[in-house]
Amino acid sequence: MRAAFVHGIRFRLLLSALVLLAIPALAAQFISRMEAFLRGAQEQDLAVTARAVASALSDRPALFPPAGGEPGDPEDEERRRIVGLFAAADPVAAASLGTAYMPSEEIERFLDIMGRRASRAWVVDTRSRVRGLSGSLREPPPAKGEPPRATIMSWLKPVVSLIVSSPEVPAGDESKPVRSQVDRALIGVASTHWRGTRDREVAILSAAQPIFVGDDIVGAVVVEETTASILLLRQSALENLIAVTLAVCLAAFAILLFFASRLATRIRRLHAEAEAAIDAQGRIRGDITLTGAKDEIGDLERTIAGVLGRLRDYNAYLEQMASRLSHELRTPVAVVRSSLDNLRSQSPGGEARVYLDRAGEGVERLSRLISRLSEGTRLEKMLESAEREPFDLAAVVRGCVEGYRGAYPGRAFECVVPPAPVAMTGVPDAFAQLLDKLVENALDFAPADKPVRVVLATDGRRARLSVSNEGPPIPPAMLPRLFDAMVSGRDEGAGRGGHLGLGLTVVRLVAEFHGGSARAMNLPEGRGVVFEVEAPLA
Amino acid sequence: MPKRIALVEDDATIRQNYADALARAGYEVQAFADRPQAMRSLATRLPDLAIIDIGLGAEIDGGFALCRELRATSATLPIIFLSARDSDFDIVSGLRLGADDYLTKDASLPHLLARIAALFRRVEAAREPARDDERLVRGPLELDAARMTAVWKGLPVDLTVTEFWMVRSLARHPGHVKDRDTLMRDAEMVVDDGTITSHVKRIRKKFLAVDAAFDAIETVYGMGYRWTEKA
Repeated sequence: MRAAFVHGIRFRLLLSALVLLAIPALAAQFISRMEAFLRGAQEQDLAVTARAVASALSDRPALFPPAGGEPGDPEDEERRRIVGLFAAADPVAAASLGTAYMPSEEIERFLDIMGRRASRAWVVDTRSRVRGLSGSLREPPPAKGEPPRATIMSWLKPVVSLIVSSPEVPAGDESKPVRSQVDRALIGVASTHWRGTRDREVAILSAAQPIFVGDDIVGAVVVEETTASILLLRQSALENLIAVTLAVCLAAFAILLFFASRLATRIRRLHAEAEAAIDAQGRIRGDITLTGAKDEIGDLERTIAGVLGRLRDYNAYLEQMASRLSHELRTPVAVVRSSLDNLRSQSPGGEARVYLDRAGEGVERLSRLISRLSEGTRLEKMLESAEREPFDLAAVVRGCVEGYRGAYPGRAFECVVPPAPVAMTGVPDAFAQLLDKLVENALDFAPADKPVRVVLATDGRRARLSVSNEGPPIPPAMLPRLFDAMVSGRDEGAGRGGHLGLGLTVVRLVAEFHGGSARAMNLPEGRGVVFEVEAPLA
Repeated sequence: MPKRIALVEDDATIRQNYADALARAGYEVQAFADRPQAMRSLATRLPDLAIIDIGLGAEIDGGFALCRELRATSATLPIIFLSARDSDFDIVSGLRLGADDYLTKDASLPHLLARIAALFRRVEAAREPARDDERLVRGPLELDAARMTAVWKGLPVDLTVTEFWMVRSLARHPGHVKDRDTLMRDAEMVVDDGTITSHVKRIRKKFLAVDAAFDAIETVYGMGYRWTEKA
């Protein structure tokens, strides 16, 4: 069954439907492109914000009073360290700036005005003092009632990560990048930088910009933002995408499966009908039911039905050929016979008489042969018009065997018939004829000193009549064709010349007329041959 | 004066052979190849007996039509069908049209001549008073061999010559089984077993038509038939 499914249409269609899976893959690819694009935009955006903040703070010497102390001040060093740690700290962890935090109210107000949601901006002056800090990298708490997104995504994460490549973000809490960014800003180089966080999915983008007073650099602005908003966007897009494509794929699979099943069912039905239409002997038994479908399978149905019809016609033609042939041959035989009769009435003497008798004998034989040719057809016609009547098969068999004992005094017959009547409905004469043929056949084959066994048995539903003889076995290849017209297991030239294997055709016709069947079997160990006819009881 | 026989047969060789044989037997023969020809000639002067083939040239059932026309002209003219066809259907059709007998072309010329002689005898006997020695009486059955007539319970049963001979063969020795070969011999038929069966069937039907309770002909399977007399 499994192998049948694997080779079936359904399996193949489903297999080809796997192509549908390319759709979510392509869409996911598209989403990751979009994400990259969004990140680029965010980067630019952040850089612009940083520049705006920097230029707003520029040229305001009041905000950045010249620092006291030496540049090599150890306090500076300490502050540098603190700022570096702060810059690198996880946004979730509360980091204290401690002594490095020397806010200027004005700068902080500026930063508050310019700040963005979920971003952090701070200003460092040349002596590593944080002059202003605004915002936080922490996400604002999600709005109430939003469904927990984790479930579907957490299942699908392994699958999704196969399809969607997250942009590479360096991981770790290294402080160096931001510090060097600040350092570079303090010497006038603006930059943007990505860095990873403990959450693999989230990255922090930072942009640094120098602040000028005149031509001097007095500090640097650092604006930081997490990628959480992009991630959120990506996630909801992915979820939508996956939900939709899953639904589409499932629907497509279901439709395909239904379609394929229907197709397969119709083809299987056609297959079964075509198989049943012709039996093992090549005779046409069944028919194809036409569904009237207009598609290719409908065409196939019509073609097979047509082929069967033509085959049936041809079979009928072949079957009728025998009777037509016999009819056509009768006239020339009558010519010869009447000529011989005329010749005989001239009473020729001597040798002429001998040859005349031989010719007559030959014509006799020919005419018997011809009459047997149409025997099957004649019997069929007889059966068609015959009236079915109830009869006792046991009585028929008993009577027939009695008759054979009288007709063939030199031969022995064994007869086993149940004492109770075997009630059947049909044509008793035809059954007698059937038995005649079987016994004739058995007598021709059985050694003269061996008996012919006729056994009638019944199992309450069917009657089984068998005639067996101890003759030589029949070649196995012959067995199924034995009951066809013109097939004979006899050696050429044997018998009485009147056999063309039509006797067994009669057997088959009568058996089938009674709703039964006939078959021939070799007995094991070459002990003989048995012909069996089975038919339902009345 | 010799009897005149009309022979209608489309095959020239067979026609000639049969004509020769009939002539040798002392009959005067008029041979025709087709129906119109035969009808033209026979309409003016009816023969004493007609032998007709069923298929006449292009007319597949020309013989049946001819038989119908002849029977319409004369109710008593003896008609024999002589055909290559041996199906029950053809035999029944022929006899229903009023033919007196039906022979297949398997029949030898002596058989044909015997059948013709029998028919003539029947026709002649019908004109003469009945002779007792030709009569056979078995209970309700009376057979007149000269006229070839059968009477069952006082009612005539219309048998063909073949059927008459079969009934006579059976009834002569009631209780004795007559196998098919014997019946065939007695009825001077050359046919196969199946035809004997259908002959017996037809005989039974004819008796049943006069007496619905008729069951005097008993089938002995494998052997043949016998005439039974109810006590």
